[in-house]
Amino acid sequence: VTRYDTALALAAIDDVAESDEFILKGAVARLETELAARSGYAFAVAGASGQSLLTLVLRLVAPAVVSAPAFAPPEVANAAVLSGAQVRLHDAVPLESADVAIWWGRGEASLSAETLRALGAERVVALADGFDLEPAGRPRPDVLVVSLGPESAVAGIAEAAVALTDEAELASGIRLLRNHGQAPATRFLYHAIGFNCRADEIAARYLLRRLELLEAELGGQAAERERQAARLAAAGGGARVEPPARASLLTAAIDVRAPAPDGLGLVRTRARALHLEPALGSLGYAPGAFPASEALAREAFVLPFTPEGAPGG
Amino acid sequence: MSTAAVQVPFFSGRRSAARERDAVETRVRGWLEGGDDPLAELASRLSALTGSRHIVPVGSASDALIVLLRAAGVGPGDEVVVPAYTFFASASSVIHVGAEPVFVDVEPETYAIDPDAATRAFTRATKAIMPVHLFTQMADLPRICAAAQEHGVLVLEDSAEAIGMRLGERHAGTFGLGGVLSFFPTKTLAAIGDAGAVMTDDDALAERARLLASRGVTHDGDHLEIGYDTRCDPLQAAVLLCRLDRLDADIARRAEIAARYDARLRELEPHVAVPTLRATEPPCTYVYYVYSIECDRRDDLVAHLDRRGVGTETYYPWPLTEQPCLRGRPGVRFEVPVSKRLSERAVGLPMYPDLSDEDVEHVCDAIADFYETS
Repeated sequence: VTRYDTALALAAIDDVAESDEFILKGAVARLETELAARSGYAFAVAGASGQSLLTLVLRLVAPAVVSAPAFAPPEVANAAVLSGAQVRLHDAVPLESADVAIWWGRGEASLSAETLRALGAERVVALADGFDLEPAGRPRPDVLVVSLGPESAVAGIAEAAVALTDEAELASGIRLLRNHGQAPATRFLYHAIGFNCRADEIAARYLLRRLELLEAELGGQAAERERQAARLAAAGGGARVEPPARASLLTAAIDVRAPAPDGLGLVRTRARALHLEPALGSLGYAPGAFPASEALAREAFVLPFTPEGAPGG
Repeated sequence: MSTAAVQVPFFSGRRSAARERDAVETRVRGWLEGGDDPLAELASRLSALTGSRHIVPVGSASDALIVLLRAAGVGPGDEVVVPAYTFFASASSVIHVGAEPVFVDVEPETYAIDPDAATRAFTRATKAIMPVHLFTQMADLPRICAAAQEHGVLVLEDSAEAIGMRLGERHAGTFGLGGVLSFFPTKTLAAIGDAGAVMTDDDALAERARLLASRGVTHDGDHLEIGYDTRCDPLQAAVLLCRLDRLDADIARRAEIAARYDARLRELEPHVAVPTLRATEPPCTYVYYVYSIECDRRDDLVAHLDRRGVGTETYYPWPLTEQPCLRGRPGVRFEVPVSKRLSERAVGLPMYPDLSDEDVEHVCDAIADFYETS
């Protein structure tokens, strides 16, 4: 179920066509300002996708060892490996210390103060597809990369993401690397081997309008979650809706834990834990290495929000 | 209207966008309200246009180069021969896959890689050569392909700027193992944000490119390879489909504008040199993506044109061998005098279908004033 808003999309297209500004211009800057203010971080840098921003962050931090949870999306594994660091997976918390710990949880829900301490890394970098509308006073990672693509909680019209941090030097580095490594004030002069990880104006204009609707959408999500919880309870079989950690957390989908998912209309979160994926076979982990993650891969599902939970729905 | 009030930006697509607004709305509504995914149709139509069996839409041409190189098996320990006068991604993509770009000079007429210089750069480590079809015309592919074949080197074309360019009946990007297309908003076929594509006739390469561009994850959710998150947005595909309908007319209009520039600016020789089109056999189809002149006192001219309301783009102010992040790399091992000269003398003038004849005259008047009064 997509949650696109056609009217918002067409308005954004008209705005971009009229402006003759397409990439990393005024709307992207306004989106960054708005997301920094809403998140409470000092700096927000928008980019093309969560994985690419996460990769840029790791390249800049240049850790020797990165730890990542074994139950996480492929973007986490890709970014960790592409960073060039040695990658170690873990179940709930790292079994060994690392320079950087990548955190991924449902939305960003399970990142608690205890988790932050337990991660025990110099820096914690999180990838999230949820967005907390009242973040004040919460424990938070050093860098939070929030996906803003069509399948995220703050659902854009195109792939996009934002990196949030209080570190000025890191924010400048991300800005440099996201645009090929080009010097900020000099066209076609490159100080670093960067990527094309730029945010489009069309994505930013759509998201700016979407941000105005998030509070209303949060209420719709709560109602939909309750409705689905009642449906699953009536169906029996032990399936249960996992509530968000906080009422203020907008999520990309409804999380469900279901030992027997057949016939419930659920979508499997991941086919298997990361250490059992062929892409990470070279890390040498065997089945059973991370039992909690393997159990999650069997039992963790999502229910997409229906159009009633969409903006304007 | 006074001449001073005329503004000719380096690029504008407003007028065309206004004309195609209804068509774009129909396409976008069709997609968002449950119609077919425009990406598949875009791939199909580009395949028909270029003759490339596979088109893999991705997030940008820079990403397309990375995906193409990796899908072709280029990696650590390999060298890739690239021109020194081109966009940065021709080099950075090679470095991103762990290989080393080796920079050679370009030909003075076409600004494309010099086949003789490239051949001299081949070593046992050379895995591929990446010719770039820059601005208007194609690299000398018959000679490049022959040399590559003789030395067992892959040809991977950076055809990002080359939609519509052909040698005989054969489209740019289809001569080697694969090529790329760019749909950057100022390109001949332009999206309204970043977008690009990998092109190839090779089934296995196409399959791997699709996998790599989709985070290394299959449709069934299996994570087979470390990949990239570089999916082309369907919204951009919807816009591109509308613009494909006017591509031939746009290319023809670009040629008219170039002819008008040629006629006026030839009067300013030797201060200004207009683009040279090399005759080929079979004939080449030229496409004016960029109209680049070589000129005396380039930077002063750019400042003068700016004061007269004319936008320009200096493609490229430095050869890649002089970029701060590339200087000193092992692949910087040859002199590149033509690239150096172009980086000091070349500048791109406004070139887009929305440009009016009066706009072109204004640009030419401003250039003429500069050389006649200084």
